[in-house]
Amino acid sequence: MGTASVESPIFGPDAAPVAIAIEVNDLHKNFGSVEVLKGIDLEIKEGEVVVIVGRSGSGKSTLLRCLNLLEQPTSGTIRVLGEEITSGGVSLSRLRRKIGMVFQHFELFPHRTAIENVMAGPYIVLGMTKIEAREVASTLLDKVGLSHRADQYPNQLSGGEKQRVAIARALALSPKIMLFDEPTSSLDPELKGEVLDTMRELACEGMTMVVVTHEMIFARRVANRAIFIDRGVVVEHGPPDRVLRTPATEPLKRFLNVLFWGENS
Amino acid sequence: MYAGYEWDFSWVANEMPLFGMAAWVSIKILLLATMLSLALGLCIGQGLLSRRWYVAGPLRVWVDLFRLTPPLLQIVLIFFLLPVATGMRLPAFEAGVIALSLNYSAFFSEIFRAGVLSLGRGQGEAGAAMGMTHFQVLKWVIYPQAIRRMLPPITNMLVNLTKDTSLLTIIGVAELFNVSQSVSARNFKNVEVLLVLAVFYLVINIPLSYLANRLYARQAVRI
Repeated sequence: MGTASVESPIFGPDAAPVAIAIEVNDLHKNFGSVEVLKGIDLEIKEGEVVVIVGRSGSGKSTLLRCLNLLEQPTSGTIRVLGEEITSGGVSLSRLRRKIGMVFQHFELFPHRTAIENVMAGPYIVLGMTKIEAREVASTLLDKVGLSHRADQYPNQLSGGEKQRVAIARALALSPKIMLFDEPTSSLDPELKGEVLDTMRELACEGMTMVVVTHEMIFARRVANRAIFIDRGVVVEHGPPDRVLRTPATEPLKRFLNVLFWGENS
Repeated sequence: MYAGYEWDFSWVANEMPLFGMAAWVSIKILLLATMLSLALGLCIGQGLLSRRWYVAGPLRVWVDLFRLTPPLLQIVLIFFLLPVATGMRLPAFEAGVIALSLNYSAFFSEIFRAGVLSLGRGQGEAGAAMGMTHFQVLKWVIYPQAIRRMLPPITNMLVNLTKDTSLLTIIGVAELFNVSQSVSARNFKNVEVLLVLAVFYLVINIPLSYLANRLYARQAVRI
């Protein structure tokens, strides 16, 4: 595989300056006496696709969950679309309408059908009527290729279908940024592809995406940047092809080895 | 069967109106205590889940007080001793309903608390991550699901509550058990009266228990 950036929504370093979507400065997070994040600095431009890799327990999910304040940072600042969210007094509801999130275990609402899951955001959070919300939802289900499954309950869907519904559900709020927390980790290998395809389409449309994942092929083909986190600090970052093919540091080499041999990291 | 005893149910027809009235009193106790204890249990259960120690702590003590002492003691305490301590006197029926409601709300609050916890954090987070407020998460995500898990144990508790209405006999409420005592005294047919009494409780509880089993079975299929 070549080094050319494939399907990149960024036009190159000399294009007009791109707005910053997320800016993280010296972020620390403690759980009790355990320091999980030890000073993270990170800048993500609008339209950028960033993958975060690292061993389990390295803090990568915690970092992601700080970005929409599902975890409250212990110290440091985070700015989202120009607005500081760590200063307190931020409307969580308003912030989270701008940041969609997709979870490892889907977390679809099992008592609601696929289309009702997607309607939940527009209807409950945005205050649309049910008819408007249903319209938004069916457009999005169509987009993820699941119109024919609209009236099924989550337990009637395959894992891949569940995750695509979950992506549609997050998109229903028209977010500016999407966070993915190991979106394919609980899927059988043959079901990962459909989810990754959906994510790639989203990236092509210019969505700003932060993806915690172990999918190296996705990282190399779709992402603009890869970040390797180990023990709460950013150890390496740069173009995915370089970072993931020719790791410069010992921890990343070890991590990629474990991943390559298919061990549960 | 032991031959020396002569069974006699001839009194049943005569006493039926009295039994019917008593059954209605028992059912009223059951319905009122059910509504009160469920409403109170829901509030207390939500309070027990609070992260604020000054909310959850006192409620925990209150719940354990009612959960870990005999209901009979609570009934007597509220009817006889509350007036002594506060000067406030409650009629036996009201005092009994309140005592049973407080006792059962303690158990219901645990059922509500456990039901919410059994969902795990993920569902609530999914709602929150979409921008739902805490109340919206409870209303649209948590309770619609948790209630399915809560219904079977709640129905089981209602079976117990039906039986426990008989405890109010101790403070003289004219419910089924209390009335059956006067009927036996009048007819000298204690064994027969108690057997008829058992039938009344069974008539209420067999459908309830059947419902509980159905709910448990349905839950096993759905989840």
